[in-house]
Amino acid sequence: MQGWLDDQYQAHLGAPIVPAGYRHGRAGRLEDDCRVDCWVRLDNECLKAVCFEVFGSLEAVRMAGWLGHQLTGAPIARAEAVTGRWLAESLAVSAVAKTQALVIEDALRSALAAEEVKGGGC
Amino acid sequence: MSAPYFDYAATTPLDPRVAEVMADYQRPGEPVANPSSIHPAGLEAHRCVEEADAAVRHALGLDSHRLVWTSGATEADNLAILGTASALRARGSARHRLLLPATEHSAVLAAAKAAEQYGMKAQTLAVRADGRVCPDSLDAALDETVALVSIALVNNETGVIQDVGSIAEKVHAAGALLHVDAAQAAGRLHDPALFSSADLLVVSAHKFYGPKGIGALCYRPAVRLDAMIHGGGQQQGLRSGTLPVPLIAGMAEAFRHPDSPSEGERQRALWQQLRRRMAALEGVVLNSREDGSPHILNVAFAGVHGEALRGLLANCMVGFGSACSSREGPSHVLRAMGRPDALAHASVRFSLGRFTTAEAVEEIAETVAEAVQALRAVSPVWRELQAGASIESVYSVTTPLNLA
Repeated sequence: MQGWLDDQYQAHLGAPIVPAGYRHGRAGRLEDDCRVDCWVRLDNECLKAVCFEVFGSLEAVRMAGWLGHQLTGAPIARAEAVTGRWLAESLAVSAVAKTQALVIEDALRSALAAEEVKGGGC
Repeated sequence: MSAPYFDYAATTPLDPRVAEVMADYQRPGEPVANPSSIHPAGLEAHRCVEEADAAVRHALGLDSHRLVWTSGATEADNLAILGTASALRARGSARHRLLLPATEHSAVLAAAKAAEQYGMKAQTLAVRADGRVCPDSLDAALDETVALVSIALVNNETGVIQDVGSIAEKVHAAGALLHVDAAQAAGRLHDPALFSSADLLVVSAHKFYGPKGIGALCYRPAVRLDAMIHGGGQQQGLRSGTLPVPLIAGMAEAFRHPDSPSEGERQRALWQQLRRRMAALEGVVLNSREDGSPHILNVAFAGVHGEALRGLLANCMVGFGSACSSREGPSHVLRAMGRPDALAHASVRFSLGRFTTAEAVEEIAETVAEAVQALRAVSPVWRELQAGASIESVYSVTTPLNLA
């Protein structure tokens, strides 16, 4: 099982330990076999931190980790330009994972549009 | 060291004693005669088949039944269902319904569907959340139009043992026949009453340390069966084709060595050991019963995506649903038990046997735990469960789930 996910992508998976200051969005449903949550922390016009939680295939997990790595430190405008199609094509994923790429896109958009989480734990 | 093998329900390793017997019939350059031949070597082969026939029936406590050799359990199930259906139609019987639990093996479900060509109508029986047939469902369905009730004594995915004694009473009171698929039970369960109540009983060699490619249908002499395979008229015309003597001898040898009660207890202890290891992960749903067959433990991991789990466990020799239909979606057995697709898909069947060790249990438990924890660490569903949401509410399940 070792090596199923690059360490640099692993760092962008899972919920933040302290969610305060993050914006949290979610998309997809368990019943539809894919649920993705996105957490972003903004700093001026940039994404200071980006992480995803994924209930989906290994391809979906890898896509989300890769995207989190790509977007960390990037301008918000770049995140707003992300589409599921671009994501799927960038990583040449399977047909099934293309649908999950759309869920990742939706979760990212939902997070970008959300209010900051105020205080408290996860 | 080879990876631990936990897929005994799919197929078992050959027992060395079986391999030795089979080797005697497969020496290079030495012919094993056709048992239909009337020369001395043929008669010797015929004698071997006759002895094996008696040995298998005796091992099952079915000395007064008859036996027909088949290529395995699938063919035997087909012969039991389609052969009965064809014979009933030929006699103009008014019995035209087949009853079977929704959790049956695909060999039975598909054969029952195919029996429509003989005017039969298949009806599935509901099962409870624990996998046992719902008695009310059987009571409501049984009447004088029922021809045959098919049931697996031990379910191949969950290890759940059906209450065949009680079911047989009802089936026979209604004048119907009882067909029992004992592929997972033979050699493991020791109560002769479990087998003797069957009018038709199916067994397979490779599910119990014998060779692949041989099985049998045992049936009461009063049961009328039509042949499904036609040819030279072997086996009283019920199943034509040259008999594979080495396989038959191997199957008989396997059945001469059933699991002893102490071996059953040893496997039960391993089952409990594995269950404890899985339970320690929390959020693990038990799809098996405590009183099920000791060789199968089926659990579902809440908060874990099924396909991702299969990906991480790709090198593990465990089962995901039935090996006979592993290319399909979530297990039809677990769905029939009320498990939602997401939970059914995240289920793993561990099946063990006489060569399984406690060390192997630890090894597989460690591997599975690592995969489950890795996926839960990134799962929003698991986070919600950890925050206090119940599995039932997150997965929209209406029936309470039994946690490991």
